[in-house]
Amino acid sequence: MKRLALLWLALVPTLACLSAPPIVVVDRATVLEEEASGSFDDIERQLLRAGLAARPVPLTPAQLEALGLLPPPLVDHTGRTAADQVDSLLVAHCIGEGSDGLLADTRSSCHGLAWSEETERLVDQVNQARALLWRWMQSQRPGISVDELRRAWQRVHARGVVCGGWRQREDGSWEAKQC
Amino acid sequence: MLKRLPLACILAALLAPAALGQDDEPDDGFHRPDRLTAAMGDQFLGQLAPDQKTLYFVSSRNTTSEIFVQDVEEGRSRRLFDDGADVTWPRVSPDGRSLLYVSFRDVATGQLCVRDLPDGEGRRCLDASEGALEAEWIDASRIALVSRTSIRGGLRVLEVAVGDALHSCPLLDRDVTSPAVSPDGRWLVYVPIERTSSEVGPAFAAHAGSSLEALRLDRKGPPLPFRLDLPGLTAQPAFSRDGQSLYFVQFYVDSNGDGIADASDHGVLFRVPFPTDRDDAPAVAATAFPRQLTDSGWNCEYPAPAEQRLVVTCSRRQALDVYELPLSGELPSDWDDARLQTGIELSDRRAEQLLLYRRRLALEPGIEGRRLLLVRLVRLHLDFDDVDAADFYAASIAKLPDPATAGLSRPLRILVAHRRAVRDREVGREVASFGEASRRRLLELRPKPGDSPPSLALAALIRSEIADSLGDVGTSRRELDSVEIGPAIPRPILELFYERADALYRRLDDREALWSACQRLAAQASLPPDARMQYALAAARTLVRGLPASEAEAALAREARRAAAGSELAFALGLQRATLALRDADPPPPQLDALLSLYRSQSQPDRRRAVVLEVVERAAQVGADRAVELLAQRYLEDVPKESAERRRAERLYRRALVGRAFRRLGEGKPEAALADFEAVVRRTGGLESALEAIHLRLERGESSEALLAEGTPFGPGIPKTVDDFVRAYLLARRLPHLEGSEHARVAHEARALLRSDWAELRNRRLARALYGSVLAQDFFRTGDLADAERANAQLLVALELSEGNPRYRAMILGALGILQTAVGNDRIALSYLEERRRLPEADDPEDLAVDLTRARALFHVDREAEAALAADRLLERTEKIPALRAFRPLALDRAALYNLAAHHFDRSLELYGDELAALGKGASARNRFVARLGHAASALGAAKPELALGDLADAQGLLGDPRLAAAIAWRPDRAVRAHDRYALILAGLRANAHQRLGQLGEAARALEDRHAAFAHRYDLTRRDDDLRALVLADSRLAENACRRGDVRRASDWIGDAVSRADALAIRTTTPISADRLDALWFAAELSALDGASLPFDVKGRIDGASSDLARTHDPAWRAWEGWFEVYLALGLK
Repeated sequence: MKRLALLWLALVPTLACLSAPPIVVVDRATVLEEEASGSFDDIERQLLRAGLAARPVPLTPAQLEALGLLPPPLVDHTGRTAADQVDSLLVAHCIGEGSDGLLADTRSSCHGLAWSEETERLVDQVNQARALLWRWMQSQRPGISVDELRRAWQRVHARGVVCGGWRQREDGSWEAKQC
Repeated sequence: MLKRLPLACILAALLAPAALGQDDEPDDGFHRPDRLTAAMGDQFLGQLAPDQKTLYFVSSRNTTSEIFVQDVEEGRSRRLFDDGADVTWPRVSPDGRSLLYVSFRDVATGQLCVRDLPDGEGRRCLDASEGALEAEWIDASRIALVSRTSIRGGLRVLEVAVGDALHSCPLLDRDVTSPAVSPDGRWLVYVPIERTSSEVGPAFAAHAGSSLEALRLDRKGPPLPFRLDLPGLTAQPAFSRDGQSLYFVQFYVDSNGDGIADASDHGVLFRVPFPTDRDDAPAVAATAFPRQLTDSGWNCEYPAPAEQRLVVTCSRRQALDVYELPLSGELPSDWDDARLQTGIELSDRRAEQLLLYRRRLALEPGIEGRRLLLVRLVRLHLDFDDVDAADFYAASIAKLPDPATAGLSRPLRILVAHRRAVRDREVGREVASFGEASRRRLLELRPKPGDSPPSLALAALIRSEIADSLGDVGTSRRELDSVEIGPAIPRPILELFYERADALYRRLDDREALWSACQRLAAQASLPPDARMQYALAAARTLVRGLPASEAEAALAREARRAAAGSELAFALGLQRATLALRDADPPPPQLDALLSLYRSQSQPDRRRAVVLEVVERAAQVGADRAVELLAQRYLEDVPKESAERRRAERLYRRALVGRAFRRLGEGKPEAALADFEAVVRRTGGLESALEAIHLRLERGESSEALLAEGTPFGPGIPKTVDDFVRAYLLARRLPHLEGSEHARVAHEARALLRSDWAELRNRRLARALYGSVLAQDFFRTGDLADAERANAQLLVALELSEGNPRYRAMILGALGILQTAVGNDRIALSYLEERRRLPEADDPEDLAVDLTRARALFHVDREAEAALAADRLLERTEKIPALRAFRPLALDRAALYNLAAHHFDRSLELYGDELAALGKGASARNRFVARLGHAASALGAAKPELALGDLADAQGLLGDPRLAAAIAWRPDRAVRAHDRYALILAGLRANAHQRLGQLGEAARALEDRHAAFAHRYDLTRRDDDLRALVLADSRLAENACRRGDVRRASDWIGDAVSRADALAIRTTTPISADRLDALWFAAELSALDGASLPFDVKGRIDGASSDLARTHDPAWRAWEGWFEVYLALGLK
């Protein structure tokens, strides 16, 4: 019945009748704590004061790397060219030399380096430059298609890919170049 | 750009941290801005009073903009006054006795007001129809005010006399912003602004001019425009206190990437000389070389120079705060060219490199040197896509005539234009015209008479780049091949050559061409040895890139035979052979010896450095840690302590050994890790390594007292700051075990140790975190909110300094969460704790404390289900991790309570059962009682009323135990005894349990007990809450009587309920309330359905209530309205 339902609503505070009446001087949670929580003052105090200690949390290198957080590099690379950066990204498997001759985004395999907006821009720039190169090659060899020239270029280029660099096999899978 | 308040400009958040990696301990010697304010919301427009200790600023922590005052040493702030509305633009008078500000209380467009200091009383305002925008003191009794005549009207400057009242007269009829008055009152400097449209007032749509203007205040004369020698826009001038310099903000980097450098980008602080005692001060400023104070990675505005410090407002992480830094800026004034150069080599932030290069430019005496540094600046700005700044510097080269390098400016400016076009094309702008414009630039780059060899070479390089971007690879190649490398070509041009060659030849896979280019560069006698070395190493890498090992070895051997003995190239080839031989993570001892021999055999510092860096990099790639550590250690031993190279050596050593130490810790080798940390401290004085080492020693059983007694745990020769910090840390470790005066004494000693080195420690995150920790411990002892506030401020600064280091962030986030929860700010606490939870857990009590706090905070913000989940997780950790087992009773109790609050009754029943089983004979009476009570409530919720009744009987028995009375501690301000309150609870639960079992008679007795207790309580307290509780108790008894079939009793009870509800309505002046309506509803039911005769006119009351509800038109009462209509229709008595 409705009246029971209404009264149930009124009863709810008394059911958890560890609780205070609907309007309280202190908040409900505080009242509940005062009424119903056990007294473990010593260990609680000990625990909370420990939590205030100025000691860095001992996260392991593996934990940090799992978060994508890398330790500072041993050697600072302030004079790197764009091509050097591409090599570093290839070795870290963040990008790969695709079988189509273009750089591919393989960030899911990335380790030891972080992916950023700049990485994306670099990859775009390199790929655009390569595309322009193939078109130029085709302008020099009109009888050969861009695709053939691209494949020929890619075969030569593969020889110079940095050792350990990520590259695509014929079957589409990826491997690190062994030297 | 700063967020715009109605009329004032404040910084908007632009800087978002890019935490791509962990940062290292700061070692670069920069004096970065030091945060002064730490609170919720934004803090801005800070200014120090003449006493140098009192800071005034605007804060939005309370939603409105208010002016706060803060003791800089103490760190605590308070609102200075309550104006009753938004206020802004606080400015302290030169004598420190008055404060001007802009108030929006009475005038929506802003009103200039003044109050007395230090108390903020004596408000008086300018009675004017014009809106006040900005103001500055001319002297202690006059103000220059920028005001707006109307929405569309122009701006003007008024002179306001300050006395008991404020009176104004016109000073300058001109659209201006950011007025600054010199301390001697002679000059007014401002930013003239031009209207974008004549229809719209300048305050709404205007742009700052490209120059400042200066006006003499002590005599008549026109404003004197002067333009500072910088790219971009100038704003917010401010005079130094000694009247010799002008500080200002420059917007010249395109930090937001929209292609335009304007006031929506990062503000960078500068200073120029402006000797106010000279008539030609503006000209002096215009011809001076502005000193850059902050790097463009910071976004800072509103400089407020004090006697010894510069106060600024900076934007970090979406918030504004007030900072301070030395008057001379981030770079120490005593850095010479060598130090600056090392800083450039070791910096990985372009913004810092720009700052360092500008300082080198300021120190460079020769014209050729200056021109070449300008070329560097052009390149750096182009790397940033700051094309306007790049063009400025390119144009500046032409102002420094030098026949040897004549003609550099023109091609550089063409390069800038080309890069701008490339960028535009990338974002889809001006695509169609790119080709034609590029071909035009190619024509413009044709050689001209008088071009020097460097400019011819530069032009060829740029032609190569432009042709490349047009897809004309053949032309690009020809141009590059045509560049003549020779002694006449300066280093910056050779660097550009290398960059172009590397880009093009590698794309063409022309190994030979690149090898040849690097060879030529390595042989340039005009280059210093270290530069030749870099190209030699590049040549060696080019030779072998991508080749199988045997081919690489053969190529290196072949070229080594051809290379000139003793040349950089010969050395590089030999080094490449040695590094390529390093292939395993565990190289055999002979190989390590060979590497060390190679290092030792080098007498030249740059070759030693090359060996170290190349081998370390290779060793790191293959995981040969031993090689890294050997070389890093040897290198550190060899590099002289006072040399510029020492920083690089120390950094390498520290990173290598700290990395190894943490790996060893992860492998469970604490002793080995300790040895590494101690080695770092002894050799480099690393503060953070010192802390890790101390902590490991504590973990292995040494006591804080024993370590303190040692004096200097790391031996002699350690910097005092490290020793003092360690001592402070050890003292702080004792605090959790101390109380009373001993606690206070030790805390004071720890703080004193930190403050004795505060000038060096203030920007160190560990020091801030430790200081905050000590203050927080004080708060836990004293309960004084002032201590909590101070602790919070320190921890917030520490958090900002720890942006790139997750270990420290985790620590500080946890501490902030615990502190905020302790003062009752549970939602704020949760923001920190949730962020903490995104980082991994640690299996220690510190981390458990964070979990406990998080569960509690969730509970307090009514997220009971999440609190229960968090507490369950807490309990699981105490059960699985041996180090945490001691905390299981606490975790069990909290898990039970939060699950009960979340209505997870089965789970809470189980947990309370476990808790009762775990409570041994030694358990406190209170804990046994509340656990039994919790068990009863859970049983009831889990539909087990018989079990609940058994618990309640036990609990009733415990309640009668005198030992429990002593143990039940409650808030001392409660009028009701804890015993009586528990009696009420037990009666209520008993009533519910009997009701569930259909034992209405027993339920009635329990309800009557409860009713009597409520009535007694109300007699004591006379509180509305308790009267309301009585109404409910009456209603429950009426319901119970009704169910028992005792209509007469039901009528009596509901009559009482209605009567009390009426009394409550009168007391609270709420004629319509749910309590009253419910009582009437029940009465209507009794009357209509049971035919009860009630002690009041039910029909009349329901009629009246129905009419009242109809008048309110409030959907909240619809249910009652509907049922009242039904009962009226059914007929009431």
